[in-house]
Amino acid sequence: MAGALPRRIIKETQRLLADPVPGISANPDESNARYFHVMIAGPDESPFAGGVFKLELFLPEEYPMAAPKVRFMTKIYHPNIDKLGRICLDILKDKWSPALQIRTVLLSIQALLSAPNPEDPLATDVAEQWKTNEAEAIKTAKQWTLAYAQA
Amino acid sequence: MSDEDEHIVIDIEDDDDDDDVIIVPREEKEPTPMVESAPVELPTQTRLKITVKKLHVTAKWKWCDVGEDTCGICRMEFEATCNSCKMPGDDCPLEVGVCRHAFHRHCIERWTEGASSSQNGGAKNGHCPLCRQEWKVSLRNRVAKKKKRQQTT
Repeated sequence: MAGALPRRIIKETQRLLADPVPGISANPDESNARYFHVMIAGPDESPFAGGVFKLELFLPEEYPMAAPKVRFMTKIYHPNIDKLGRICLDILKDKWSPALQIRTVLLSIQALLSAPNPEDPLATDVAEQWKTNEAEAIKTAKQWTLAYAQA
Repeated sequence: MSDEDEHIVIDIEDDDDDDDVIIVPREEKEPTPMVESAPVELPTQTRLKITVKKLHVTAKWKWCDVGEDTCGICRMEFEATCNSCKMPGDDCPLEVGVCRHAFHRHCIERWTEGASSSQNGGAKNGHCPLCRQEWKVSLRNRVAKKKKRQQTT
């Protein structure tokens, strides 16, 4: 059973609401303060520009000793994000540090949209396309953004 | 009323005419018991005569300066409690690493012990949360003491 909400989570939530990161919004769920509804705007000059991507973020009981669990809810064509919306990002796995926070995690995901990394793929077919025919991959990513990521 | 007024002046008749005056102090009062702290007279250059009758002293404590104010893990001030403490103090002091980063002892121990981290199967996290260098508690003071002891033996 979830105990009292740690002061750190309360502080982080207050700051996310009062001083949001540009292009990112994160709102706690009404019934669960550890569950956040997140929206990330596709960065300019990326194939995701003009899109708004919905994510869910959950802070496990061990947080901040364990990383938040984050997943894309919006379909996205990206070599490091798979069909289920799972994200391949080192800081969400073995490179997690308790000095990181919701804010820095969401900034890293925003940066991942600007800089897809097909060398460390999660969606292998997308990564393959990205490596062999980048122009075509970017075209597909733009189409998907238009088709699925409109607010 | 000045002190002089408390004395009784008695004129005693004697033969010579020199107007002898003998001052006999009135029966000595019992000395008033000293108040807890005697008033302190401060030397002064002015005509004011200042006496400090009472002082109210307060003190503030702080951990030795480590350059930061808040713990990078729980995000609370170092002088406040970590998440598992009810009172700040020696049970949960600052732990300073060789990299000079500091955390509440309980916070950094929870991280390095890794017991509650399900993600890495309870493996130990040997790295500083802030700079990722190997986490080692700075033993500067203890090393200094050891050196001293070696010198004396």
